[in-house]
Amino acid sequence: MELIAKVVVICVVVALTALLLERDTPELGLLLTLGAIAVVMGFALSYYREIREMVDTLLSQSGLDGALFVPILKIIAISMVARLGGDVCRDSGKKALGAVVDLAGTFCALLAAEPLLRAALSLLTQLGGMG
Amino acid sequence: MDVDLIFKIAAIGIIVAVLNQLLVRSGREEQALMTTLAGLVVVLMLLVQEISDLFELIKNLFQL
Repeated sequence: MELIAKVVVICVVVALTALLLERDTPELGLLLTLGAIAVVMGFALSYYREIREMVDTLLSQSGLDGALFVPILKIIAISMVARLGGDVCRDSGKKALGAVVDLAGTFCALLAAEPLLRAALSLLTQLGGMG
Repeated sequence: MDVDLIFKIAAIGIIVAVLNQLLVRSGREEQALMTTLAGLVVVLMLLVQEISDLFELIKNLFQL
Protein backbone atom coordinates (compact mmCIF):
# COMPACT_ATOMS: atom_id res chain seq x y z
CA MET A 1 0.00 0.00 0.00
CA GLU A 2 2.88 2.29 0.87
CA LEU A 3 4.48 1.59 -2.52
CA ILE A 4 1.42 2.46 -4.57
CA ALA A 5 0.75 5.64 -2.57
CA LYS A 6 4.32 6.85 -3.19
CA VAL A 7 4.15 5.93 -6.89
CA VAL A 8 0.84 7.75 -7.37
CA VAL A 9 2.10 10.91 -5.63
CA ILE A 10 5.34 10.93 -7.65
CA CYS A 11 3.56 10.28 -10.96
CA VAL A 12 0.92 12.97 -10.41
CA VAL A 13 3.55 15.56 -9.42
CA VAL A 14 5.69 14.59 -12.44
CA ALA A 15 2.67 14.74 -14.77
CA LEU A 16 1.80 18.26 -13.56
CA THR A 17 5.41 19.45 -13.87
CA ALA A 18 5.72 17.87 -17.33
CA LEU A 19 2.55 19.70 -18.43
CA LEU A 20 4.10 22.95 -17.21
CA LEU A 21 7.40 22.27 -19.01
CA GLU A 22 5.77 21.15 -22.25
CA ARG A 23 4.45 24.66 -22.93
CA ASP A 24 7.93 26.02 -23.65
CA THR A 25 10.27 23.03 -23.85
CA PRO A 26 8.35 19.83 -24.72
CA GLU A 27 11.57 17.77 -24.96
CA LEU A 28 12.41 18.46 -21.31
CA GLY A 29 8.89 17.41 -20.32
CA LEU A 30 9.46 14.10 -22.06
CA LEU A 31 12.84 13.67 -20.37
CA LEU A 32 11.24 14.36 -16.98
CA THR A 33 8.70 11.61 -17.73
CA LEU A 34 11.56 9.25 -18.66
CA GLY A 35 13.36 10.05 -15.41
CA ALA A 36 10.22 9.34 -13.41
CA ILE A 37 9.78 6.04 -15.27
CA ALA A 38 13.36 4.99 -14.43
CA VAL A 39 12.99 5.91 -10.75
CA VAL A 40 9.54 4.37 -10.21
CA MET A 41 10.39 1.19 -12.14
CA GLY A 42 13.58 0.75 -10.12
CA PHE A 43 11.59 1.15 -6.92
CA ALA A 44 8.85 -1.27 -7.99
CA LEU A 45 11.37 -3.87 -9.19
CA SER A 46 13.13 -3.81 -5.82
CA TYR A 47 10.13 -5.81 -4.52
CA TYR A 48 10.47 -8.38 -7.30
CA ARG A 49 12.69 -10.80 -5.37
CA GLU A 50 9.95 -11.51 -2.81
CA ILE A 51 7.48 -12.34 -5.61
CA ARG A 52 10.10 -14.56 -7.30
CA GLU A 53 10.68 -16.49 -4.06
CA MET A 54 6.93 -17.09 -3.76
CA VAL A 55 6.70 -18.27 -7.38
CA ASP A 56 9.72 -20.56 -6.88
CA THR A 57 8.04 -22.13 -3.83
CA LEU A 58 4.84 -22.66 -5.83
CA LEU A 59 6.83 -24.22 -8.69
CA SER A 60 8.73 -26.61 -6.41
CA GLN A 61 5.48 -27.67 -4.70
CA SER A 62 3.67 -28.23 -8.00
CA GLY A 63 6.58 -30.34 -9.34
CA LEU A 64 6.79 -28.36 -12.60
CA ASP A 65 10.12 -27.90 -14.34
CA GLY A 66 11.59 -24.51 -13.41
CA ALA A 67 13.11 -24.15 -16.88
CA LEU A 68 9.61 -23.80 -18.32
CA PHE A 69 9.05 -20.72 -16.17
CA VAL A 70 12.11 -18.82 -17.50
CA PRO A 71 10.53 -17.94 -20.92
CA ILE A 72 7.48 -16.54 -19.12
CA LEU A 73 9.74 -14.28 -17.04
CA LYS A 74 11.54 -13.15 -20.19
CA ILE A 75 8.25 -12.37 -21.93
CA ILE A 76 7.06 -10.36 -18.92
CA ALA A 77 10.28 -8.29 -19.03
CA ILE A 78 10.08 -7.81 -22.80
CA SER A 79 6.44 -6.74 -22.70
CA MET A 80 7.15 -4.33 -19.84
CA VAL A 81 10.03 -2.64 -21.66
CA ALA A 82 8.22 -2.62 -25.03
CA ARG A 83 5.02 -1.17 -23.57
CA LEU A 84 6.88 1.60 -21.74
CA GLY A 85 9.10 2.39 -24.73
CA GLY A 86 6.17 2.42 -27.14
CA ASP A 87 4.10 4.66 -24.91
CA VAL A 88 6.98 7.10 -24.45
CA CYS A 89 7.24 7.34 -28.25
CA ARG A 90 3.46 7.85 -28.52
CA ASP A 91 3.60 10.54 -25.78
CA SER A 92 6.05 12.50 -27.88
CA GLY A 93 3.62 12.30 -30.80
CA LYS A 94 5.51 9.67 -32.80
CA LYS A 95 2.86 6.98 -33.20
CA ALA A 96 4.76 5.14 -35.95
CA LEU A 97 7.79 4.74 -33.67
CA GLY A 98 5.52 3.46 -30.92
CA ALA A 99 4.04 0.91 -33.31
CA VAL A 100 7.55 -0.22 -34.36
CA VAL A 101 8.54 -0.70 -30.71
CA ASP A 102 5.36 -2.75 -30.16
CA LEU A 103 6.11 -4.90 -33.21
CA ALA A 104 9.72 -5.48 -32.14
CA GLY A 105 8.46 -6.41 -28.68
CA THR A 106 6.05 -8.93 -30.20
CA PHE A 107 8.83 -10.56 -32.23
CA CYS A 108 11.16 -10.68 -29.22
CA ALA A 109 8.39 -12.23 -27.11
CA LEU A 110 7.78 -14.87 -29.79
CA LEU A 111 11.51 -15.65 -29.88
CA ALA A 112 11.60 -15.92 -26.09
CA ALA A 113 8.56 -18.23 -26.18
CA GLU A 114 10.24 -20.58 -28.66
CA PRO A 115 11.34 -23.19 -26.05
CA LEU A 116 7.77 -23.33 -24.72
CA LEU A 117 6.35 -23.79 -28.23
CA ARG A 118 8.89 -26.55 -28.91
CA ALA A 119 7.96 -28.30 -25.65
CA ALA A 120 4.25 -28.08 -26.54
CA LEU A 121 4.96 -29.40 -30.05
CA SER A 122 6.98 -32.38 -28.78
CA LEU A 123 4.22 -33.15 -26.27
CA LEU A 124 1.63 -33.10 -29.08
CA THR A 125 3.89 -35.32 -31.23
CA GLN A 126 4.23 -37.81 -28.38
CA LEU A 127 0.46 -37.82 -27.86
CA GLY A 128 -0.06 -38.36 -31.59
CA GLY A 129 2.44 -41.24 -31.57
CA MET A 130 0.64 -42.89 -28.65
CA GLY A 131 -2.75 -42.64 -30.37
CA MET B 1 13.98 5.44 -4.26
CA ASP B 2 16.09 8.13 -5.84
CA VAL B 3 13.47 10.88 -6.09
CA ASP B 4 16.24 13.50 -6.16
CA LEU B 5 16.75 12.73 -9.84
CA ILE B 6 13.17 13.79 -10.64
CA PHE B 7 13.57 17.01 -8.67
CA LYS B 8 16.87 17.74 -10.44
CA ILE B 9 15.30 17.27 -13.88
CA ALA B 10 12.25 19.36 -12.93
CA ALA B 11 14.45 22.17 -11.59
CA ILE B 12 16.63 22.20 -14.71
CA GLY B 13 13.51 22.13 -16.89
CA ILE B 14 11.91 25.09 -15.10
CA ILE B 15 15.14 27.14 -15.20
CA VAL B 16 15.60 26.38 -18.91
CA ALA B 17 11.95 27.24 -19.66
CA VAL B 18 12.23 30.60 -17.85
CA LEU B 19 15.55 31.42 -19.58
CA ASN B 20 14.02 30.37 -22.90
CA GLN B 21 11.08 32.74 -22.44
CA LEU B 22 13.33 35.63 -21.35
CA LEU B 23 15.64 35.19 -24.32
CA VAL B 24 12.81 34.79 -26.83
CA ARG B 25 11.05 37.92 -25.54
CA SER B 26 14.28 39.92 -25.82
CA GLY B 27 14.67 38.84 -29.43
CA ARG B 28 17.57 36.37 -28.95
CA GLU B 29 16.05 33.26 -30.46
CA GLU B 30 19.42 31.64 -31.26
CA GLN B 31 20.61 31.92 -27.68
CA ALA B 32 17.25 30.57 -26.47
CA LEU B 33 17.72 27.54 -28.71
CA MET B 34 21.26 27.05 -27.38
CA THR B 35 19.99 27.26 -23.79
CA THR B 36 17.35 24.63 -24.52
CA LEU B 37 19.96 22.40 -26.17
CA ALA B 38 22.34 22.79 -23.21
CA GLY B 39 19.54 21.90 -20.77
CA LEU B 40 18.65 18.91 -22.92
CA VAL B 41 22.24 17.63 -22.93
CA VAL B 42 22.62 18.08 -19.16
CA VAL B 43 19.36 16.21 -18.43
CA LEU B 44 20.27 13.47 -20.93
CA MET B 45 23.64 12.98 -19.19
CA LEU B 46 21.80 12.63 -15.87
CA LEU B 47 19.26 10.22 -17.34
CA VAL B 48 21.40 7.92 -19.46
CA GLN B 49 23.13 6.34 -16.44
CA GLU B 50 19.80 5.86 -14.64
CA ILE B 51 18.14 4.21 -17.66
CA SER B 52 21.20 2.00 -18.22
CA ASP B 53 21.00 0.92 -14.55
CA LEU B 54 17.29 0.15 -14.99
CA PHE B 55 17.95 -2.04 -18.05
CA GLU B 56 20.76 -3.87 -16.21
CA LEU B 57 18.39 -4.48 -13.28
CA ILE B 58 15.69 -5.83 -15.60
CA LYS B 59 18.24 -8.04 -17.40
CA ASN B 60 19.50 -9.47 -14.11
CA LEU B 61 16.09 -9.96 -12.51
CA PHE B 62 14.39 -11.57 -15.49
CA GLN B 63 17.45 -13.56 -16.67
CA LEU B 64 17.40 -11.94 -20.12
